[in-house]
Amino acid sequence: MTLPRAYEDQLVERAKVDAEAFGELYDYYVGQIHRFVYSRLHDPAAAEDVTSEVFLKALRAVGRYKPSGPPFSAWLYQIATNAVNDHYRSRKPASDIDTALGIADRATPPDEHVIQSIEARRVWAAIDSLPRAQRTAMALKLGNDLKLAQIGGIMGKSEGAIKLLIHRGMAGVRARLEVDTSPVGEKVEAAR
Amino acid sequence: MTRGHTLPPTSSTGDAELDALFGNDPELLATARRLKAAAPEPVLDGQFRSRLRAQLVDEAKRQLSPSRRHWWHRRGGTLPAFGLLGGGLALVAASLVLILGSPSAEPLHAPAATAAIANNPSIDPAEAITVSFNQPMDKTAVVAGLHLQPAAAVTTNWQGNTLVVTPLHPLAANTAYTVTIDQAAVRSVNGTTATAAVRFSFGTAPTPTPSPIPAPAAPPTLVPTPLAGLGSPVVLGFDQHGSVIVSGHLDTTTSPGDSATPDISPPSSATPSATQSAVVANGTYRLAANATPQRIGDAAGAVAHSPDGAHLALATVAEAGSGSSISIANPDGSNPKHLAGTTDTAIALTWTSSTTIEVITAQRIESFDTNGSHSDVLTATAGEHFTGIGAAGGRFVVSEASDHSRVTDLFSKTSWVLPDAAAVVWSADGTTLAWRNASNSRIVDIADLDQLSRPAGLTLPDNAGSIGALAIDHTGTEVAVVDDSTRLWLLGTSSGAVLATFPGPVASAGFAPDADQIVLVDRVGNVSTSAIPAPPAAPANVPAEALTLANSFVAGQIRGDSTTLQQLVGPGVDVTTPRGLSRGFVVSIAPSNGRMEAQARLIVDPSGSHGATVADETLTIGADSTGIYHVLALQTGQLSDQPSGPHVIHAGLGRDPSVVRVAFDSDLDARTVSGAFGITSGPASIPVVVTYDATSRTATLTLLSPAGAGLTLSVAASLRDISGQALAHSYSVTLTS
Repeated sequence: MTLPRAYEDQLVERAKVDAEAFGELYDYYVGQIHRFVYSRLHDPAAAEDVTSEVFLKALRAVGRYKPSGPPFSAWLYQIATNAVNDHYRSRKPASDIDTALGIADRATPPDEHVIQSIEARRVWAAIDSLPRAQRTAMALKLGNDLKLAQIGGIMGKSEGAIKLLIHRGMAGVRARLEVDTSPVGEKVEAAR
Repeated sequence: MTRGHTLPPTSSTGDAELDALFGNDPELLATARRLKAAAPEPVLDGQFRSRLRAQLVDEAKRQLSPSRRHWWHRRGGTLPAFGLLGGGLALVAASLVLILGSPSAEPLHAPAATAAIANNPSIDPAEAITVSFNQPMDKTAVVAGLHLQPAAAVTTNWQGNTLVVTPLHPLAANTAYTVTIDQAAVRSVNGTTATAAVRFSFGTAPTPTPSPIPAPAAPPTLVPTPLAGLGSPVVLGFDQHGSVIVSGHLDTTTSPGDSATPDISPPSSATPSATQSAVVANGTYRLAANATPQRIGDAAGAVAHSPDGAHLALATVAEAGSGSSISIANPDGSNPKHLAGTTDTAIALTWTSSTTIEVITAQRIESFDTNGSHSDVLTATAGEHFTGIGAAGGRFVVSEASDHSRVTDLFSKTSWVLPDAAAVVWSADGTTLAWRNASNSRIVDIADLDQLSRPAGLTLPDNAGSIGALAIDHTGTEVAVVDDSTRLWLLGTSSGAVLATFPGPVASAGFAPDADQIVLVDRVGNVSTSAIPAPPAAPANVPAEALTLANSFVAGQIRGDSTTLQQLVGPGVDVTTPRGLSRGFVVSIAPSNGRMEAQARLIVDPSGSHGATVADETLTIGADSTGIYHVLALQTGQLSDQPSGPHVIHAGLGRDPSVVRVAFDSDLDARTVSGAFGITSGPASIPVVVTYDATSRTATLTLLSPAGAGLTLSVAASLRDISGQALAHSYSVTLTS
């Protein structure tokens, strides 16, 4: 998911003097950052805005990035995490998950694919209700498939601390969700 | 927008760390699985991605450009003179292009100029050049004194005090340019002139990648071989030998192509006896080249071979006119055995084991074993209908609704919604899906099974119509598209390149298992097959690997990447690269004494008042015993000032060896082109016709007699650019050994 450290460091050093090298870093990480941002915001337009903001901030700060510190990818995710938090701070919090997702009215059953989409949003909205550190760790692990050590690097915590955050986060999500297996096709008995 | 990942076993999240973390807690493990399955998998809009990249790179160039720090012609002599003006003004002043001299000697209102692209090494070749002045200028004088080197035809206009210079054709790629406005021409409306010329340099981006190979030739046209004519034929698939299994009505009484009474007759290439012995009947047939169509059963809506190849399952049309009769038989149709009937018409069959057949109808999937017992039923989701099956063992089934398609795993009953997907087809190896984008009927989306939410879109060429029918080959590397004008387009799924076309009429297409044959069915029932041609190759006399190596080597020199360079050279080759290179490219490559000889040019961009310097280089390239190419010898010249005038930047044979193309960095005076080129083969002069494309600055020489060995191109100094400058130096290169 991330570039080899030595190559990444070389690329970042080049990016300090070569615009195309920054473009190469962008090419490699924009998908991951956008996915992370989207997993936290659930809004395509906002995800694009915040992704733009992340890379612009990274461009302006890349000259100060030191290879002796965390990997560039971790540094980039730190910027993304802060940008997402800034975005949330600038918005009014949703008072209720179901209301926020528009599924409080259950009178009209939606189509199956809509149900699937809502199901996805609902279980991920449960992550959004977690404390900030837990939801960041959960989003990086479950949304971006990062290793625990990478998440630790991004969040400035030990791998053990990340395990604890994810364990607590998962328990929190579990408490908020009801068990629902929702088969995609109705299984029926033989017609003949 | 949710993840379509591969399917881990029920005890796993697919993430070893999560499995380890929650392995002892089934409920939390199940929650983790549920979260991962629902993880958002947003599709990053391609336009947004490209636009943001361009904006960032532009911003990066602005941040990094020496023009923010460097004064080419500094008014007032020293930067501190502007220090008192404050940061904002200092930033504006940082790219002033003006006049040498002391502050006290200069009138305060002397013309000054800025250019945003100054010292930018890689602007878009189509980008306009703007020069902004600090006061109203004598526009006629400024434009009259404007020069661009290498020469390029431009148009000019003024926006206030800013001169906008727009190249008539995109500038040459990967080229350093210098803009000069004569000192006397830098004159304001009140008559004040600058004390020095305006002069600045910039470079163009190396896009497309420099290569002596001309643009790809038009893709080849398929040449199908007819197999048979049928009425209302349906291609059901292929047997393990690559024969086409077709259901339809065969009739020997008319000629091929007659839509009213289609002809069973095999093609002219088939044996005459085949024509005489063809069977006239409705049925399912095996069609093979040069063989009589073999009837293997009644007309069917679907067929499938058992995994061991021992049996054929057929879903034939029931006599009552609705539903299907499911039977099995030997592969040649012998020993048929009726298994069961279905209420609805079967559209697909699959063997999920050597004794189990699943029958797909529009609304349900029924499972039978070979003794006829009925074991399971799955119905389609409301509003959807099943359209087909796919992947290994028919594990996945595709259903479709008006605004989406769905892929369902028959084993786990898990499904993935594909928004905006229609006409989903599946490669036989189970790795790749293709579908028509319902929002844009000229886009084919291609996705790997584990990347369903992130398809790559292939756009049909401009001259193609909307997508009518789709087929994908067995390994997911090629997709066949029949457009609504019944033409066929064969596209590479990785490159999106058009590999071949067929003008049609084609109604449907399918791929043979060995992937180098495609079967076509036209509207009147003629079935034919065609070999899929190999993709276009590099010029016949130059291995693509040799050209790639030459380009990689030069790119490594420009980067100063000694590690890469050492990997590309053979034993004992000493790499000496001039320092400070800005750009470089391969001008030509051709066989020479059993090896390849490439001519390259290495360039240091202009700086300040100093023009570009160049070094020419010769690379001898050959393959070792394992077929890997290396630079076996290297001759690199010393950097020297680049003379003015047009330069050859690429020269070489086309894919058609009777065509030679020569590209230049300057806009040429077309009147001087035809007489400037010569082709010789040994001592003999080869007559040529020369045409010139001003847009690409390329002369095309068509040889009027066959090219022999030792073909040599020469360009005479009589060639002029649009400014009247002669070719920088006469040019000669050997094109064939």
